[in-house]
Amino acid sequence: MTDWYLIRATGLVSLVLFTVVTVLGIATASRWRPRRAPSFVTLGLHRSLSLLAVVFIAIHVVTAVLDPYAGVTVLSVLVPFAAHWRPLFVGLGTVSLDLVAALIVTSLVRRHLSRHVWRAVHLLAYVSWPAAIAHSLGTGTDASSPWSQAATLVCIAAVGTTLTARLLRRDGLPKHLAPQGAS
Amino acid sequence: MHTAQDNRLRSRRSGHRQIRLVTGLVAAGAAASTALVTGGLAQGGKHTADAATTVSSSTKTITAAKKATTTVKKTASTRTLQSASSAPTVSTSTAVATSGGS
Repeated sequence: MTDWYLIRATGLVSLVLFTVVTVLGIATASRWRPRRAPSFVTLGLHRSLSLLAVVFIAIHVVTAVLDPYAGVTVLSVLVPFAAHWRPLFVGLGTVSLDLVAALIVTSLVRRHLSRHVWRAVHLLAYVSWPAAIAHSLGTGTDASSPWSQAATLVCIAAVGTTLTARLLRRDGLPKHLAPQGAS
Repeated sequence: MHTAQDNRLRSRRSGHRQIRLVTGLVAAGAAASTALVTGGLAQGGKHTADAATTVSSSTKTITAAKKATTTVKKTASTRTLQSASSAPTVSTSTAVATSGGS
C-alpha cells in the first residue's frame, strides 16, 4: 500500500520540479540571471534540476508499474493512450514522459545535433509541461484535494507569469531579472 | 591580466558552488516533501480505513437490530393471529336469539 502513496507523492513532487525546470528553462532562454551570480548559474541550475526531476519522474513511473492497484502496464508507460483506466489522462502523462525523454536525450547529445534540431525538440517542453498538468488534474487521486489544487495552481501561475514576462520582455520584470542581451 | 583571469576563475567557482548548493537544497526539499506527503497520505488512508471499519460495524449492528425488530414483530403478529383464531367465537345472531328466547 506504501507504493500507492509513493506514486501520488512523487507525482506531485515531480510536477513541482518539472515546473521549476520549465521556469528556469524560460529564464535561460531569456538570459535572465539572479542578482550577483554568474550568467551560467541559471543554465547550470536548469540542467542539474532537470536531472533531479527525471529521478523523481522515474520513481513515479516505476512505482506506478510495480503497484498492482494502480494497474499501469509497461505498454501504457511507453505508448500514449494505451491504458485501460482513464486512457486520455494517463496517455497525456505518457506523452509528457516521452517528450521529457526526448528533451533529455537530445540535450545529452547536443554536441552531435544542429542548433535548430536541438531547439525544435526543446520547444516541445511547451507541450510536455501542460500535458503533465492535465495528467495530474485528470488522473491524480488527490486532484480534488485543496492542497493538490493549490500546488497545481501555483505551478500554473509560476510558468504563466514567467512565460508572460518572457513574451513582454522588458516591461514585466524587475531590473535584476531583465534580459541580459538578445536571446 | 592575471587579476582579470583570477576574477573570472573565482566567479566560475562561485557560480558552480551556487549551483551545487541550490541543487542540494532542492533535492533535500523534494525528498523531504515526498516523505512528508507519503506519510500524510498513509495516515489519511489509515483514518479512512478506520472510518470504513466503524461504518461497517455500525451497518452490521443496524442490520442485526432491524432483523431482531422484524422477528419480534412477526412473532407478535403470529401470536395475535393464533390467539384470535383460538378464541371462542359467538355469533351475534345466536346471542340475540338466546337472549330473546329467555
